[in-house]
Amino acid sequence: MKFRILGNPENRRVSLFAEALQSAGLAPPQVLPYAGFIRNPDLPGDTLQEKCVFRIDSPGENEEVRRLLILQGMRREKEKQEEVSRLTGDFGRVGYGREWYNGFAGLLKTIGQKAQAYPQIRWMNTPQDIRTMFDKQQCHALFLEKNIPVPALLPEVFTYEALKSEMRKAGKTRVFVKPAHGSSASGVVAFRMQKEKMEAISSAEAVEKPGGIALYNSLKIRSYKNENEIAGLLDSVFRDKAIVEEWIPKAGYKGQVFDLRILVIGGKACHTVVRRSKSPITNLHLGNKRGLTEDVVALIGKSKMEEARFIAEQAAACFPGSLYIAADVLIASDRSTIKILEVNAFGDLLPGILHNGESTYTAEINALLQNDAG
Amino acid sequence: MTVSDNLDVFCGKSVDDYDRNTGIVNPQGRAYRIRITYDEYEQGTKSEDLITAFVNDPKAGEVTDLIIGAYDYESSTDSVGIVTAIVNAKDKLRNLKNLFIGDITYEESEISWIQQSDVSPVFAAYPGLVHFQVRGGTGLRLSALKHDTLETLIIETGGMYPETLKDVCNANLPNLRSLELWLGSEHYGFESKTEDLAPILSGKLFPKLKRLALRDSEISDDIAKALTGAPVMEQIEELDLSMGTLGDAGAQALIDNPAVRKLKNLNIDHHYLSNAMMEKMRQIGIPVEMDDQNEEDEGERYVEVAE
Repeated sequence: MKFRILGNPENRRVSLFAEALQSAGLAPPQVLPYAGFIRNPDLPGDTLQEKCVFRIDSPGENEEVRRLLILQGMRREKEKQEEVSRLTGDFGRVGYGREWYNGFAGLLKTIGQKAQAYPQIRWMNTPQDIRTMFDKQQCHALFLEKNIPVPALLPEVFTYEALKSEMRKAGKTRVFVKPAHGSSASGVVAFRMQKEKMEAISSAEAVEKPGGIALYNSLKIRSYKNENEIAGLLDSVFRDKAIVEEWIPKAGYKGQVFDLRILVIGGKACHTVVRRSKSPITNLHLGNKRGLTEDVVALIGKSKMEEARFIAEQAAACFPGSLYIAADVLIASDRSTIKILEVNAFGDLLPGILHNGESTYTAEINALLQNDAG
Repeated sequence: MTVSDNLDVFCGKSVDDYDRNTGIVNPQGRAYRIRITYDEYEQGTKSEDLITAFVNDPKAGEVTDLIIGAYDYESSTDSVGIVTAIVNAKDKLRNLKNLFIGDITYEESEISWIQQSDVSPVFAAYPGLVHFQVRGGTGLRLSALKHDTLETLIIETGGMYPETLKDVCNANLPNLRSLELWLGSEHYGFESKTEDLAPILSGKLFPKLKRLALRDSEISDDIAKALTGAPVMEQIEELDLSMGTLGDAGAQALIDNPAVRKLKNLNIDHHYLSNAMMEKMRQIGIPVEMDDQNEEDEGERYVEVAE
């Protein structure tokens, strides 16, 4: 079995996957670098004559690739291109989420179309599924349709003032604002208000710039209390397409709240990571720590944990073209309510986490081999 | 810092979340927490409905320990309905001894966002009460704080409003053994001075007091100084000034206070003592809890729980 990876060759995702292949006694993968592929999106036809497994991995953590995708996404707005070059040289700046998504979704569409000429390609996750997973609004609609429990969405808004008004209408005092195409908590804001009090919690840092407020990703979670600051922060987030969902309080233990990252492979819930945090934002790169599943089981009970895993499997089943899906699962502070927060197309980078003795990548490869044998 | 965990143990008993499908299973061995689930709340069920279901359980009469958890996920309604429902259940909860209204974490609602009310009707309704605890200072009153058997009173706020402190100072609790107040920050309602604590420090208000906890205070140093010569020091065995802003000045006053050396325990966790002062504190000959040393942030000290 031959593997091809569309990825950023310098990224550890690619090298770790190659290592997993090697451990399974398989040939090294052929890597198609994003940067080259975006410029010239041709599948290497001559090498696709035999049966091949195609893995599309994350285009992330590469500024050049980000710039190219944004440029792709704004083809008709050439005048902005100079600005994009500046923006992407500005490390950590949040922005152009919509254009980035257009670029990435367009690329995935192209791959899908070109691959039709090669029926021997077997996708780990299909381009179509990956596209859907990068659109939070579309995922939410899909989950509602399939009766997967998800937090309720508020109507789409474009300004902070409109957000407040929609919250009042819906009787909500606490919401999450999430860029519709974002990942890794970039630009995510937890916002709550009550009478004259309000607070916004985010890893985004709002910086005053000559052209207005600029948002930067940071590794620190900040709390904003001043309304002007909060309005500036949220208005910047709303410049890109964003969703507003109800903020359901998370369960916690030993001083921190948590949610679960559950990796579903071949329909089965496998690797589970407890993501703990002192803030409502649990992403592990923000200084948050992993917890022990045993502690969570002690808190919520075995059957609740089974239910969480089952719901993650149900969410994964909404993507029949995907071998693996990472579902972020919320256990509410009532220790009873379970919701799917997000699904991630590239959520399988969980170094050091084993399930039945297998790493995430090894488990995926073995699931493929087993399917083949069966 | 904030209140991050729900209770696992209350008055020595393991806490179970009440589930109306299973009902009350072990009324004497467990403390039951009544907390509406998020989905129930969204569907319009009220916490009062859950309390009604609980008190109509055939075993409700045997329950001794009761906790009210999050009652409103939007922090938009106050606890009047909760207090009324508990008061109305007085003939059903015949054995209730220990009650906590507001086991609510910061993730559910920051302490200053919890909407409380006058909780004192429970004292008349439950003459057998031994332990009463409440969290959240906004709207909190204890206007008729009169009870013959109550031994423990714990009031947790991020900022205790002057009228709430006055309620405590007007209390009639002849049997009170342990008083714990989280005084909190002036940004969230605290405005009092040590003079306002005088009735408590006089020793006359609570003649049987053995434990005094004035925690989470912005005026820890002033309180420590006011304890010099305070009659209450002659009757208590435990003093707790933790979660606050105690610094070297307050610590020195405690060290110089002969009554402090007769205590069985002193707790000053979350403090601003220098290393040298901590060393002096270790030499006073009684057990001193002194974890969580803090440093001033641009001349400012912060209490542990405020927001």
